[in-house]
Amino acid sequence: MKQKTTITIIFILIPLILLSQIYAYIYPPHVNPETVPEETGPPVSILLTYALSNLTTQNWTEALKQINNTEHLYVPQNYKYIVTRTIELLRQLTETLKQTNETLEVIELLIEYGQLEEAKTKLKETDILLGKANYTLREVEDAIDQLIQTFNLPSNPLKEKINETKNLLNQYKQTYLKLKQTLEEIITKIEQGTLIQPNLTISANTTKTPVGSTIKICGNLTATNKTLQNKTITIYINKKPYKTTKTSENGSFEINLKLPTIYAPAITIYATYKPEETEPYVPVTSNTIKIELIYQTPTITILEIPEKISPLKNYTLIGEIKLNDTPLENWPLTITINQNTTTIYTDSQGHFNYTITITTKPSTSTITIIMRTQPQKSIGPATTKITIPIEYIDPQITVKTPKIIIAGIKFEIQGTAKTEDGPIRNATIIIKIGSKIVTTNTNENGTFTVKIAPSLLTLSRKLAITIVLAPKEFWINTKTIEKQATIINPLTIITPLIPILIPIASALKQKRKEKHPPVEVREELIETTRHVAVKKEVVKVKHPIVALYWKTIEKIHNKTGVYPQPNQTLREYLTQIKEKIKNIAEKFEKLTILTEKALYAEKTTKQDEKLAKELYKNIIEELKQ
Amino acid sequence: MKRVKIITLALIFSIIFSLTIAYMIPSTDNYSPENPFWNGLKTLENIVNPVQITSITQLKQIINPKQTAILILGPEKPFTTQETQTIKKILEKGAIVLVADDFGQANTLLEQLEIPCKFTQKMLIDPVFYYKNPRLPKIFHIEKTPWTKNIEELTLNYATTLNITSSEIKILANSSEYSYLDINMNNQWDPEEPKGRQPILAQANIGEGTLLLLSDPSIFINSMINKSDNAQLLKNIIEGKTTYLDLSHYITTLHTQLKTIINITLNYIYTPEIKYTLIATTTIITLYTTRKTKEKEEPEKIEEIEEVLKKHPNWDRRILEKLREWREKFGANRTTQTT
Repeated sequence: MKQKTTITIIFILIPLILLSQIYAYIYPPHVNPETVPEETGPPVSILLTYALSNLTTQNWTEALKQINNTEHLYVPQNYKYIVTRTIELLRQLTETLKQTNETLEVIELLIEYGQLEEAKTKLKETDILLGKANYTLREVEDAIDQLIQTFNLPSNPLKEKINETKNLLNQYKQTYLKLKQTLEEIITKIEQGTLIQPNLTISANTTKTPVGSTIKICGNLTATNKTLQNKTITIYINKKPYKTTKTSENGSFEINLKLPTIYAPAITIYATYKPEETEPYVPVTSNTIKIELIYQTPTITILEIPEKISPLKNYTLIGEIKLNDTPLENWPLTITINQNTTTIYTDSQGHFNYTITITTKPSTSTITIIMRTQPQKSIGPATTKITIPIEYIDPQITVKTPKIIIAGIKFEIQGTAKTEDGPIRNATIIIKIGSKIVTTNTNENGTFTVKIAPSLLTLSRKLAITIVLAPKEFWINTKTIEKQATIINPLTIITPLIPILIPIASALKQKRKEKHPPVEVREELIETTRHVAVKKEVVKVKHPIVALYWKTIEKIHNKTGVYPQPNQTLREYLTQIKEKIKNIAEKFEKLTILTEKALYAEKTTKQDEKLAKELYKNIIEELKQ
Repeated sequence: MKRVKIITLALIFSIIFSLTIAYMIPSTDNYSPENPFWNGLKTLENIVNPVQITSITQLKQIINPKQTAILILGPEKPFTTQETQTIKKILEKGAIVLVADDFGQANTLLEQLEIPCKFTQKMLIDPVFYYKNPRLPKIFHIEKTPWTKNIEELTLNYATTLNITSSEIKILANSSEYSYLDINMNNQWDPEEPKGRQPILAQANIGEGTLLLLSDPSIFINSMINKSDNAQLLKNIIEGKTTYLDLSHYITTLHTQLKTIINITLNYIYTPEIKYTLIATTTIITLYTTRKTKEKEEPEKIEEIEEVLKKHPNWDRRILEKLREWREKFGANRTTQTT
């Protein structure tokens, strides 16, 4: 039962653990583009099919766009030429077909307006275009066949589109032939006399006239020396129908034409006559007359202009409007600044005054002022555009920072922010020291003071104090300054000294101990090989018990005159003098045992040393008695 | 004792050697700025030289947000509320934050920021405009904005799209009209799958800042950054700004974790306090050990004489010392020969 549960848990857990890996496998964040397998054929067929579709529906713009988009196609280097060439041919075909279509439309209009000669010329042009289109289409077809073979593309959709293009071209050919036939029929009919080509001429009473003035247009509509009466004539100004009139009994017409207020150097005027279907006439367009428009353009002269503009400040723009050196009095002038338009008027001297004030943050670093005079009658408009840079002021900031900062101790940063115009009030000051950020504001005098206590955890180092001044006024630039300071952390300076100080202290302690050892006894070894004992300072015995023993020996020697012989052991010496020192023999024996222990045993205890001292004292005292 | 010493020393040296090797071998993690291979961000690192942040809280240290660009590329861990708040605050103060993601966790950030846009996390396929493979679509429907200055084309790599639900979000780039989302991953378009132009780059304004959303972080990896105008997009974003690269939302491999630890440790060691403490400690330990060894040798010599003197207290120490000196000088063998 337990085993089953364990296996079930494992089976549940493993997929859960592997879930992220499985997800990453299905949705990898990326693949190596250099090792990713290339698609067998470039996706050119889809794009060509779409481009040809647009071409056959005469959506020229879209077709050309699709063709241009082929630049983004990925084509392996080996096949690049085939694809590029096909696309180039397709572009040529599209442009030729577009031009053919446009020419055919023009021919239709020319025939409609009886401009038969122009129509004939255009038909010739179309013939050439159709020939070119036919040739290019064959080239495109061959190129596409090549693509189909090279990339093993599905041929049906492309072939279908090529056939549709062929149909379109045939359609154009048909239209061309139809128009050619219509034109030929008209010409034949004119030659046969079944259709009469009227003659429409117009003239104007002037070739030069002020803008908006009225001119007189006179004209004649005749057909084989016969006047055509009561026929509708349409007058066109700048190719747009403007007015209609009717011919009089003698086929003439006269019309007063109030010209539109166009301030251009010239306008073109012509007239057309479109006969009814039942009438034996061919439509006709008159000669075109050109009327020069007379108007005067005033001059706007800027007399005073600021070199730079600071926001919120008032600047005066002074100028004058003159017409041939004559000031234009009370003349309207529209001033556009940042899409806001105001109209002002000139004074009696033709001068104008305008106060520029920028209150909102402009999107660019300059302001553009467009001044346009309003046209009035024969005085046309005049426009002047001036660009003035906005003055972004660089503030001055002075900051006093300490050169040395002690961690854990408060220090002060003082500073002043100002411009040439005065202090910068209420500006945000951001101070960054290490990881600490402090924010404050400047006061009315543009000064600020910040007290900062660096954390005791700050490490001793040179650090940069960054001070950012961010004024509220958008025309005053933000300024960042950096100051260097050395922060000293007493703790972190002591820390590296600790491993140095510890052994030094212990070494000093040991030295001191050596200078003042707890018991320092100089042992005197007595040479007794001769009768006269010779004292010889030999060894420095460090053991206190042994030292006490030798001191005792010295005293016993004084009393008994017996020194231990070099060949004698301590016990032998004890036995030798035991009788002579009866009263202290027991104590001396104990001291001898302790000395033996000190000399031959591994260790003596403090207790032993204490006992030895007591024994030594007692022995000395008793010897004195 | 000596054997223990040798084993300890061998162990220490092998650990140091292994750590050095681990430190020297470059990372192979996705989006790692230390990774020089195809899937890393070494090239980005070279172009941008960003400040690498291992915690979003480091962004609180930024004092000039208007001059700051933050890159969050393919986050693998979700964003916490605190992290979102930090990012929001810095955005409001004027920073530029690029959040580029495909199948990661950036939606957690967008949700918390209440941005009416999401990464669809479905694969974008373009069967017509691609580099080598339809899963590497090319983007050329690009609006003219300061962010897309001098960009004609971008090449993506296993990208997704953006699902924008408000006109407040400005679309900056779209995929081609032939693209579609391959929801069921069968490499072909199915009737239920969205097709046509899909937004891949968008802009949202938050306070004074700009949040840029890009539906593929891979365009900045080493193997992709130089394709089309991918690098130009990066340059436009970071132009004249201090750039921060978020590394806190990646799931790193053990190797990278170890490298990070080594790096942190080295950084600490390089601080003057630690550096000089270590030098002092090492010097003291060396001196102490040398002295101990010397001291140990000395008592051995003294002990020998002391032992003789214990047995024969009346013998001359100086003679004994002299004898020992001669023995050491002429050697035991010679003495034996003489006798």
